[in-house]
Amino acid sequence: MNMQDKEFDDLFRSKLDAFEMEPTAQVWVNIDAEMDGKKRKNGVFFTLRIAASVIVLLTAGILFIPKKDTVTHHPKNQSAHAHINPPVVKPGNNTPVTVKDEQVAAIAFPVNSTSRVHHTKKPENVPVQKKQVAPEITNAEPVKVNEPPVLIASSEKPAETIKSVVPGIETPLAAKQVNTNETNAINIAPVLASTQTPVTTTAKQAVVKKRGIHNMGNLVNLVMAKVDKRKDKVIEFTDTDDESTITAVNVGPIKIKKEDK
Amino acid sequence: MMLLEHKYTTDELVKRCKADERKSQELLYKQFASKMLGVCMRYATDRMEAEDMLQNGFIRVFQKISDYRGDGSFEGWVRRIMVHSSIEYYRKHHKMLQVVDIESAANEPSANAVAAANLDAKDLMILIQQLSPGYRMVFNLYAIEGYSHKEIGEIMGISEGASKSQLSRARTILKEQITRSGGKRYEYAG
Repeated sequence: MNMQDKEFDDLFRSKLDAFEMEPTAQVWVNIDAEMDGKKRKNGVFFTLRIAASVIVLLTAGILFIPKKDTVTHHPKNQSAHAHINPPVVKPGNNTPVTVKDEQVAAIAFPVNSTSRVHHTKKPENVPVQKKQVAPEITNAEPVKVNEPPVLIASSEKPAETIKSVVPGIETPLAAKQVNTNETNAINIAPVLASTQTPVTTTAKQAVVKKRGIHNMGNLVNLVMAKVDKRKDKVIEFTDTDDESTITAVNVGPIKIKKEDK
Repeated sequence: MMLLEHKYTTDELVKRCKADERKSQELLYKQFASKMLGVCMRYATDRMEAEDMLQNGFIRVFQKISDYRGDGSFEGWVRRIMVHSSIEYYRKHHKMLQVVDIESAANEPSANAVAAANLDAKDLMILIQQLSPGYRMVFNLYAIEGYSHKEIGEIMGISEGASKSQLSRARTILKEQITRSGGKRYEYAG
């Protein structure tokens, strides 16, 4: 006896309609838990996202730290700027010819405290004769020294920085004239020659030490300078503060730069 | 607070569930769980799958219960949600596994009506569960829920014609099984 499709379907429907089966107790437990969890779920998800971003940052940090060695090689990169620095510093060295050690110390101070204007002012006050000249120069210094670290690796930049330094050279010239009034003109030349090289090295070391150890932001800046040759680095930090804050981010399409310097 | 089940009608429970009262939700669940697991079983390969569908279905019931306006039976409303939960489960887990049965369907097997009638619900359930997920879904939706081929095509993302041919194939396989068994009882393993 063949069954019609309709009959066949009806047979299944009528028989299965009455089919019941007791679910296991676990089903309600799960429902109960999920109904409670729905509210908490967002919170958990949020904390997970934070945890994930922390892990990403830590991994990035671990990846970059081995490149710390590059910091020691860094002075080579900086040499271009280091050469620019001395003329700015020169006039300060010119007058007290005899007291070389003091000069170096005096020079080291302003370079060290590239960003800290308070410190630079103190050593200026010590040489009484130089009071008038020194403030001008030291004021000029921090600005110039501040710029290079950010631009260190950018190969296109040096041209600009050199230009910016040119007026710096002119100012010392004016300072020299003042100096000649006080001391021998002969002194200037030897001092220029002698101080130039030591000063540059001390300046370099001071700068490197300062930045290398000072804070994490500086370290990242230096590493980025080595790794990323673009004008806008993947990430940039302020190198002025003890606490480093991000000033620029450049991840392909996303480019953020704080222009508050 | 002691709540006695018999004190509440379904309507009363629904009202309390709308107020998100957990105890009432549990009572409502207990009232319909067995019946709805019966529905889910038809769409599942085994009991575990069916309980997954049931669980998701009830969560949906409690989330959507404020949408229930009281037109039509509440049981019918819950049942539709269970069917939807089963469809969702199928979409998530089985859609990629739509296996076309290679077994030839040349001769339409003639199922013995007596043999079929002798099989009880459990036996029929086993037969349905043994179908491949695609056939099972089409057969359930058309033969038992009363969906049209057009609707089934939309739900499953197949053409109307494919729905028709899958239904026909599903029936053939079921009839084959019934004839082969000769009305013999299946041992239910679920």
